[in-house]
Amino acid sequence: MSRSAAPPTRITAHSTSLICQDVDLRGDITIGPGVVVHPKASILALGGPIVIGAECVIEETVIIVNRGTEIMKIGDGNHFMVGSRIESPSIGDHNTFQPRCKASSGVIITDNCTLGAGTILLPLPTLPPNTTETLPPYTVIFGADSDRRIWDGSGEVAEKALRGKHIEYLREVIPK
Amino acid sequence: MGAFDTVITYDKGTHIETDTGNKVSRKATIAGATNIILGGKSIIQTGSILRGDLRRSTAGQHVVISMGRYCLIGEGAIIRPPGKMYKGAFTFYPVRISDFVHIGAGCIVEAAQIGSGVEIGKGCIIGKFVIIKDLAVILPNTVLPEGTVVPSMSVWSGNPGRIVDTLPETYQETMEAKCKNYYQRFRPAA
Repeated sequence: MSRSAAPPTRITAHSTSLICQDVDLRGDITIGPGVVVHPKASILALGGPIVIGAECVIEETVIIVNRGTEIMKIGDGNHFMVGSRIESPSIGDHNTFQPRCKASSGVIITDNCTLGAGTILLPLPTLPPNTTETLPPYTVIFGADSDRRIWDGSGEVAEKALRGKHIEYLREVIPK
Repeated sequence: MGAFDTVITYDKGTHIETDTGNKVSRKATIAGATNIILGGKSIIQTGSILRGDLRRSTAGQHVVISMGRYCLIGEGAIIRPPGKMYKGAFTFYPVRISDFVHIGAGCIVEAAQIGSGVEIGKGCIIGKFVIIKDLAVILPNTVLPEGTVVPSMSVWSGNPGRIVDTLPETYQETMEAKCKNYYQRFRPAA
């Protein structure tokens, strides 16, 4: 892959976002208010731009890549935990990406989904190749075989409150 | 394991050796170093990340990551304190690691406590607030979900992790010898 084809780096970060040192940002990236990016995270807009919504947490060694030409849109309140790798063309709101999960470029993620630790999200094998699948809201991907089930939404309010406090606390604690 | 094992060498400039015999790679990312305690004769290898800056909310000094003697943090392993809500406020809790603990390459550890003589294989994910008691083996690529309690003398494997075996009674001596042996073999290239 030739590096010369990569678009020039243009980063637009909201004034209330917190981006640590030692992060790798490449290409056209827009970061919304209240976003926290931990050290060693990578956001690579190799093709089209990446737009990240409000109040997302991006932890260590997370890799968010956009290889396509379209805009990769990430909604509000998403939590990308350590070592996750995200290539989905679109992500809704309040999703959780647990440590070392992989979301492939063939799946659009809607709202309130959870990708469990170490899982891999690929389009269903029953679909014709090269189609993009849309993951329904409240889907949970879990276990060694990356099985799917639907979360009933219990504890959702508590979870959202936890997210809010977490971000607030990170902003207070992480050295500037 | 014995006197004839090969020496694991590193270039002299790449690791810092402290007075107490800790060997810390210069390429390890250590945030909030004042909140991290190493017991001595521990090794932190290249590319590992220790988050000592994620501390408790109250004022004053806090130990975020404490580690005993003869520990090993493998290449690219990440140690970060777990956080949760307590009485309506979010705080991080300290990580306590005892003596003779080997954490393999590429692990993600958010445990609350790891006992002595624990071996964690490469690529494991140890969830938030996991408690690992003394003398346990976590096989490579195991995923332990949040809040798992690993009892003594057990072997764990899989995603989600389950007990697959038990350890012999002599395991304490074996593990201590193994950790000391590894530390002695890990030295700068002559």
